[in-house]
Parts: sequence; C-alpha cells; structure tokens
Amino acid sequence: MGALITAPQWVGVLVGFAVGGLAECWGVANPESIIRLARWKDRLFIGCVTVVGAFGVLLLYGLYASGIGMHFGLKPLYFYGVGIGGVLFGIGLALSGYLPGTELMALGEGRREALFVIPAGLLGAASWTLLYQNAAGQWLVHQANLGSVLVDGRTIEGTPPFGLFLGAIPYALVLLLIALLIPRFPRSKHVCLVAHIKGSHDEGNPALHDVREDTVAYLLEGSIAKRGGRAERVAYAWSSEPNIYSKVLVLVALLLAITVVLAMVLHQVFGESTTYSWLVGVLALPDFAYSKVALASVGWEPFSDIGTFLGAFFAAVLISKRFTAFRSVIPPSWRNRFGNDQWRRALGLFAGGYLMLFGARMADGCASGHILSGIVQMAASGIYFGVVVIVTSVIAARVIYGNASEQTNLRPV
Amino acid sequence: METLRNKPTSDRCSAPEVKAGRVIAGMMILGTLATVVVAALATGNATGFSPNAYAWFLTLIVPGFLLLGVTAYYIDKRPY
Repeated sequence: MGALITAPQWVGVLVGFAVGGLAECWGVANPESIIRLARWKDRLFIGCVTVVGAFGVLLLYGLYASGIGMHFGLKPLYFYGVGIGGVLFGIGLALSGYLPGTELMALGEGRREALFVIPAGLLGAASWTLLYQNAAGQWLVHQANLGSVLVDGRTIEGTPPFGLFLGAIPYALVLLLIALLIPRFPRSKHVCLVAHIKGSHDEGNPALHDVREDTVAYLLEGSIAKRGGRAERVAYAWSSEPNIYSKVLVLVALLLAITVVLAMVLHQVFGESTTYSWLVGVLALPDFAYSKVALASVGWEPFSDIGTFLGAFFAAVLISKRFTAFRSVIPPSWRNRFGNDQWRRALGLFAGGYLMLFGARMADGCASGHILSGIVQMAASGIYFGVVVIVTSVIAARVIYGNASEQTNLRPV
Repeated sequence: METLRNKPTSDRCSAPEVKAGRVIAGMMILGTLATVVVAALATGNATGFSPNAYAWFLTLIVPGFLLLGVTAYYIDKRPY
C-alpha cells in the first residue's frame, strides 16, 4: 500500500472546525434536536449518519483500494463494556440532549447548558478512569472481546483492499435504504423516493408544515437572529428540510463524509470524547492506568475538539445566527414536561452528561468515534454501539418525557 | 395565523448594528486564523500522538476570549 501521510496535530483544529460548523448548521448543537431524536420525533441524525456512512465507506475503501494509506481506528467489540456503555450513553443522551461533540458545539453556540454538561462529562470520564483501575473495569473491556472486527467478522489487516471496497458497496446500499425508509418527521407519510418521484417534498401536508415551523422556532429560540431575517429563512430551508435526499442535506452529508475520511488519511479517526479522559489524566489522575492509556494514545483529538467548538461558534455567530450569548434557554420538551426551573434542568443536565461520558469511555468511543467513524469503517463495534444507544435512548425518552408536548410555543393551560 | 412568511420584519439591523456585525465578523475570522497559528506554533508542528497539554491550553486562549467578547456584545441585545 501507499505510504501513510501523518499531518501535524494542529491540522486537527481545521478538521474539527469543518465538522463543528457543518453540524451546527444542521442543528445538532441544540439539545432539543437530540431529545427529539430520542423521542423519535425528528430522525435527522439517523438519516444523516447513514448517508454520511454510505458516502464515507465508499470513499474510504475506494481510496484505500487505490493505494492511499489510511490511519484506520476500528474500536474493539467487547460485548459487555460496549453494550453497558451504550445503555448508559443512551440514557444520558435522552436526559441531557447532548452528545460529547455537541457539548462543545453548544459551548460555541453560547448555550448556558454547556457550562453544566461539560464538567459533568469530565466527572463521568474520571469515574471510568477509576473503574478501569479495578477488576470490574477490566472485566468489562476484556470479557467477550472479539477485537477490532468489521461487520462481517473479517479484519482490515486480513482482507485485501479491493475486497474491502467490494464489501463496502452492498453495505453502502443498505445504509442508503435505511435513510430512504425512515422519514425525518413521524407525521410525514412519504418516503423520500416517493417525494422525489412526485416532485415535491410533501409541502402540502399541514402536519409537516407545522413541524417545520416548530423546528425553526426551537432552533432560533433565544438566539441573535432577527425575526423575518436571513437566519430564519436558512433555518426553514436547510435545518427543517424533511427530505434526507434533498440537495442541501446530501451536500452537507458529502462534506462531512469527506472530512471524516480526510481525518483518517491525515492522522486518525474522528472522535470527541477521548479528550475528556485525556484532560482527566492531565489535570487530576495522571498515574491511573486508563489515564496512561489516554495520555499515550490520544492524537490530535484535543485540537480537533477545539476546532469543533470554534467551527460551531463561527457558524452560530456568522451563518446560522443561533448564538444565544449564554441566556437561559431550556429545551421545549424538557420545560413542557418539567417546567422552567433552571436548577431542575441543571440537575438533569449534570446527571445526563455524567452518564453519557461514563458510558462513552466504557465503550471506548462516542457518537463520533464509535458511531460516525465506526459506520464509515464498517466497524462491528460502531454498529452495535449505535443500535444499543438508539434503542436505549428511545426507551429512556419515553420514560422521561412521556406524552409531554415538544411544541416550542406551547401556551400554558 | 402568523407563519414564517408573514412574520413582522420591523426589527431589522440598525446602521450601528451593521457596523458592529462587521467588526465581529472580522474578529471571528482573525480569531480563527490566530487559533490555528497559535496551535501550529505551540505544538511545534508535532505530528505524533500524546500532545503537549501546555500547547493545548495556549490554543484555547484566543477562542476563549473571542467567546467572552462576542457574548459581552450580544448579551444585552433582544433575543429572537
């Protein structure tokens, strides 16, 4: 194979900047977007991750087959640790509305909630560092450990590059099919293909019209955007777009896929949560076994995390105008269920952020390292983790939010 | 019924706000470039793993102050 390129660590800032900026425009920095995913009311994340995965896997293994060296980073599949970590991650996600990467994006959007959820994440990462030190932690990562395997049980090292590319084709088709068959919004009865054939995006559907208006309302709530301004139109046209296969969403997915693959060409897989363990090692627990692993193995992640924050900050101030200047903005799903009390929300954020990072470090990755980068690499662990997280978060959200409305401008009864 | 298409558009930016917006945009672009330059200088163009923690904290300085500055400007403005 071709020689490996290894870019300097600071290039991670640029890679993170691209991911943070694109994802912020998507709307995932807003906790309501993640809560609605868990409540199965807005499946944009599913559609986009599958489309990114489909583009990314073809690009990744196509380039690899053509002789370009890759810094693969398949996470090991240890059933108990990844499974239990996924369960904790899913509960934390439903409770807080954040992923490790979107916490940084939320800081870039000037969300006050980030000031609670990031320290909670550091505490969660520290707890895993402590647990890893004893027998229970070792059992979780070593028991039923199949190693770094692909979804079909093969390994990258044991498979010819062209064979990997051939395997990527049906895999990508399955991912595209999943995106096709899961409409973004539940009351939208069409699948995207039907919408394309009809030449419309279901615009005549009044339920869809309402949900798009509500999506714009929660995305811009408390922000620096002006009513009737460009940011509002951009949010309506891009961020509430119901069709996963619309030009704009496909373009964003393509750019993200290129960025994720570029990261593997240049240095390492894209991830977000290792930085938390690295920081715990740097600031508090340097002599613990897991800290030593994190300190030695972390690459440009701390820099790409700064880039993620900066990219979201840049996009929020200059493009999407969703910068909230640290005003109190409580996600509609939460306040319709639990009220506007800031301390109650802070408690939920802290518990959710803690569980999420504890679970992410137990599973050795988060939505970026495990799910996004894992799906792009056809990693069995990434798919297993992703399925556990989604199933758990949907159940947890059902328990937490019940039938409470998600409407942004719900009038008090 | 008020929809996105017929919402009032009276709260457009005033001239000073437009000017301030340009200053903020300039600061954001310069701040982003400065962050990359600081990261490159602080890490000494290192390519390996296990980054230097001091280099990382140095890289945080520009975006940190930028965040404070932009927040200080927008915190008094009327939210959406």
